[in-house]
Amino acid sequence: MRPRVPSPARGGGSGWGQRARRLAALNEAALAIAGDLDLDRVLEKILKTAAKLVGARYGALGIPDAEGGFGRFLTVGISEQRAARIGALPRVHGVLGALVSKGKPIRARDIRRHPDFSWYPEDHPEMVEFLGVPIRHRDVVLGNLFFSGARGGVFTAEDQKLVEMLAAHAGVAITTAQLYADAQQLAMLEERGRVARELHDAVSQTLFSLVYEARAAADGAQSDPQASAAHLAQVQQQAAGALEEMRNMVLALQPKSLERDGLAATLRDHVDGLRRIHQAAIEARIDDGDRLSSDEQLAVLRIAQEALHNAVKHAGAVPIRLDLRHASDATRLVVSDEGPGFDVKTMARTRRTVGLHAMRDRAHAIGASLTIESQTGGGSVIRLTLPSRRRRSM
Amino acid sequence: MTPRIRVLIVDDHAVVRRGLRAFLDLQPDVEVVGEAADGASAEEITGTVRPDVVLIDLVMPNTDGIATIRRLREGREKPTVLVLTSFLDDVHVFAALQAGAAGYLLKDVQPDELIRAIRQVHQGESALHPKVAARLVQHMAQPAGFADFTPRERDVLRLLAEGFANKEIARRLSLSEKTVKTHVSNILQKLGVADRTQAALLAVRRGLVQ
Repeated sequence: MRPRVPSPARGGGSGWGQRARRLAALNEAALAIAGDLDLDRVLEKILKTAAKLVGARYGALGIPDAEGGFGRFLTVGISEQRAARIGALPRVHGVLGALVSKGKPIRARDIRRHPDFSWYPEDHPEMVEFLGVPIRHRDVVLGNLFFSGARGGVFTAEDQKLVEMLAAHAGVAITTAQLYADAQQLAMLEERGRVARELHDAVSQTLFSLVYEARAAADGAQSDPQASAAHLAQVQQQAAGALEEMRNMVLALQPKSLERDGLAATLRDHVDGLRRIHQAAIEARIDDGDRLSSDEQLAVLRIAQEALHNAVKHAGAVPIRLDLRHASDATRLVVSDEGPGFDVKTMARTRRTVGLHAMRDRAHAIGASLTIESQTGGGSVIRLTLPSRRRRSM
Repeated sequence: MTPRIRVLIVDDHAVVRRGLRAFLDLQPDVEVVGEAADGASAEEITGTVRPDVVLIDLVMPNTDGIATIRRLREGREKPTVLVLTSFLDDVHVFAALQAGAAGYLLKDVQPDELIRAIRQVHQGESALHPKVAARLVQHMAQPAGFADFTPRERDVLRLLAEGFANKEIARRLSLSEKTVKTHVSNILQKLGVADRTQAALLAVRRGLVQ
């Protein structure tokens, strides 16, 4: 083929030094991707890393939907204004379609001469050099990752290899996210099935039986008034039982509310929900008692929910512990997990940090202290300490 | 005087057994000779109390209702079996009747209909809930056959019967998962079943797939 063109725009230096830097960047991206369930963020990271590594001005990552369009389409190098002028997202045809249907990388000095090339829409940058690779998992093509505007003038075979590696990571991330979404969907359906089963198991059986008991009472009214009265007593008892069962079931199905049920019951209900819906292994020890004001209850609940949400989302299937204790000096909430943890200081501004900020704000508002301990690979512990009112007023 | 019809009540819900017993005990021609809460004890009690009619729910814990019916019918006592259940789907209905049940009632049956059904099956007739009868008639008249399915649906049905998940079916047929899902729900509707396992069973039973 053609000789490798060293590109000063990519940092220059010796070939070894550059290769080492690229490998380090690749490694860093791979680590950042692992364990993150937020698909858009993962894909964006992959796209940006790939664009930087191959020195591409433009890049895009597309995942086709079932209707011949792209269900997800991320770009770099195209401003929002420009994207708006171009208008509709590309369809899965032409070169982009070939990437998906043939599942083979395309690398070209001038993509406009490619047999599958059709046209560029108005306002689309006139892209010449092209590097596109399919994103696949096992044998299934899930999408594509493609670049243009090579700062080095052309895309090299090494560039292609790098993008292929990142595409493999994208494949795993997409599949994982899909499995996660499927599991969520399944959990919801199972939840509905559970409700139907419970209703059937409990109440409808009792109602069916009531029909027969009442009939027995009616049939025996003349011939055996005493037995008939016994059946009627049974009818009354069963009807009351059914009513009670129904009321309990409705209560159990209804989301708990802080005002009506208090902090302990609401938090227990939330934990139960997470256990069922996410199959999360949560061990909870929650003190009863309503020593807290309603503002404090709400803050503690929201902080606990956010901490549990983070733990469930990032810690995966490992055990999570929640303790809520009312001691004489303070109320303490501790949520800990043995998940992968994170570096509190260097963490990027993700959804997770936004959540942590919100927790701090809430803690501050009720005069409580919040500490977050975590390190990469070492799990995480979130501690909320709310001094008792007596202490605070001292 | 003709001997009374000896009835065994099999249901895992004590409250259901109680209600049925209260009513049946008042019938001059019926004698409730026992109760059981699952299939195994139903078979055991049948051996000792020799019921004429076993009134049985199909879905009980630790019990394969269909297998219980089959064993009751193949055993020494050969009681007449009358199903009384909440489940109305083709797999349960056909399997219960094939296993030897003489009747199939749903748990919305009124007391008068129930006692009539017990008498009927005891005399060797059959007793079917109107909805069950309608299903049977419909399937006798025009069971969903090979011609009712599009070629694509046949492909999907064949793979489904082999136990593949939607994702794998999609891959093998080069379809999107969404399309496969649509095909599957059409297939379920045409077969009149509630889930893919039932569809697979029925497809094999009717010879729609090899």
